[in-house]
Amino acid sequence: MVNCPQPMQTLIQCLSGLPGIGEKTAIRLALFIMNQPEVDAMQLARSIIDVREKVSLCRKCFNFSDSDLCSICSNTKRDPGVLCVVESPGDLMAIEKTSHYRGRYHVLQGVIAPLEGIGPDQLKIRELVQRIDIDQIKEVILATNPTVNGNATALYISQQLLVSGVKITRIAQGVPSGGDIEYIDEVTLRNALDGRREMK
Amino acid sequence: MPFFKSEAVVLQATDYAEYDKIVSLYTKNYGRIKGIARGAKRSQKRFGGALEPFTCNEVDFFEKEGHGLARLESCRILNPYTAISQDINKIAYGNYLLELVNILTPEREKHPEVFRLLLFFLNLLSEQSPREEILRIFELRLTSLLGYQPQFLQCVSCGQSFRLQEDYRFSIKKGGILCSGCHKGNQAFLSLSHGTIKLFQQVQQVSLVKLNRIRFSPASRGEGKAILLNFLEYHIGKKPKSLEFIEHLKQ
Ligand SMILES: [Zn+2]
Ligand SMILES: [Zn+2]
Repeated sequence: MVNCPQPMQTLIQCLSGLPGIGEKTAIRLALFIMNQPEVDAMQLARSIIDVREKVSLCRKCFNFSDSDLCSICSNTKRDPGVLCVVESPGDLMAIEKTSHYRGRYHVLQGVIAPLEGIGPDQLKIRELVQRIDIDQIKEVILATNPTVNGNATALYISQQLLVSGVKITRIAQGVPSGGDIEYIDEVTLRNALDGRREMK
Repeated sequence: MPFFKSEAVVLQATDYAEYDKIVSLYTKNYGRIKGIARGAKRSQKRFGGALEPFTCNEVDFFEKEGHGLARLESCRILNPYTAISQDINKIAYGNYLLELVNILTPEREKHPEVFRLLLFFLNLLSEQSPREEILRIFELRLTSLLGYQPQFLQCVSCGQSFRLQEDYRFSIKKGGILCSGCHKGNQAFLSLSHGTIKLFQQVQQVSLVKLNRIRFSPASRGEGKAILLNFLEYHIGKKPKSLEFIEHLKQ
């Protein structure tokens, strides 16, 4: 540990616990905070306290929210009949950035991972099944990752939703835009061929 | 830095730090290897879907001396086993096969027969509708290859060979059948029928290609599951994690 006052050491230690930040970067950030105008540093500290105190999960979709219902669930302009099921709030944010999707979400808060002992009961799947009827959902879009665990989760959910009669779709898997077919792996190419669309 | 090349099945891959993945592989030439795939989490370019469980690859890796963690250089997919990842029961059963190999095999001990067994069962799972008894067959064969198979040919206490007129029970601790003179009707030992004993003898002895023809009676399915799962749990010291999902799907 570097030789500096105890409070700074604590800060450096906390910062180096963040993902992708080693001790060198932590020291650099700590020095930056020390030299920052006091208001800026205080705002950073307060914002960390705020997210932990004020942000919890939306009652309906389990996205992060600072009120009972998140801004998407309470937005009347969003189609209430379509649900996009994602693994994490990070995935939700990525889809939101496209500004292309106008329905609502359901955040599972994880993915079925048998090898890690994570099963359906540890995710928000039961809550999803209940929403179908209560919220009169017409379509569920399964947007879990195209991994073995993501597929297992999508397959499990579609099994659970079968009796409800709701329309279930899975996001397409295929060639990324700007990609080069010659360099794309065979699993992706196979999926791209299977999921081909007629040109009109 | 020595450089290696082998066929390998991905047993498990977990995210590590911000960009990397720690991958457990069962390789044909070097046994079970733990490796790090740099940048695998962030970029799809280098490894693509090659690090997904079940995938059989040709892998290239470097050995950094003294680290115990190989560095994965590249993967070329030989078989992605997509048929497994499109069926929930196949995923559940397949994960269990991978987990058993991951827990039971020693690290860096070459055992091409284990590799061949794993591929054989992944092919079976991929081509046929999933049956739970193939898990029992896999358990029996894998433990045999690794040298601590449960004993069904003779009483593990007195050594007397299996006889039809004898009543047997199974001792988890001793890892085999006990004759009536040795189990003395003690209910602490699991009971098992002659049918199951003979079936398991057969499973342990026939060639790999003939395994697929073996079918279990409902009684053997029940007895086999109780005996083998308890036997494995005793050896491993814990319950394999992936069993829970298999049980969940049956509810
Ligand atoms: Zn919400
Ligand atoms: Zn005996």
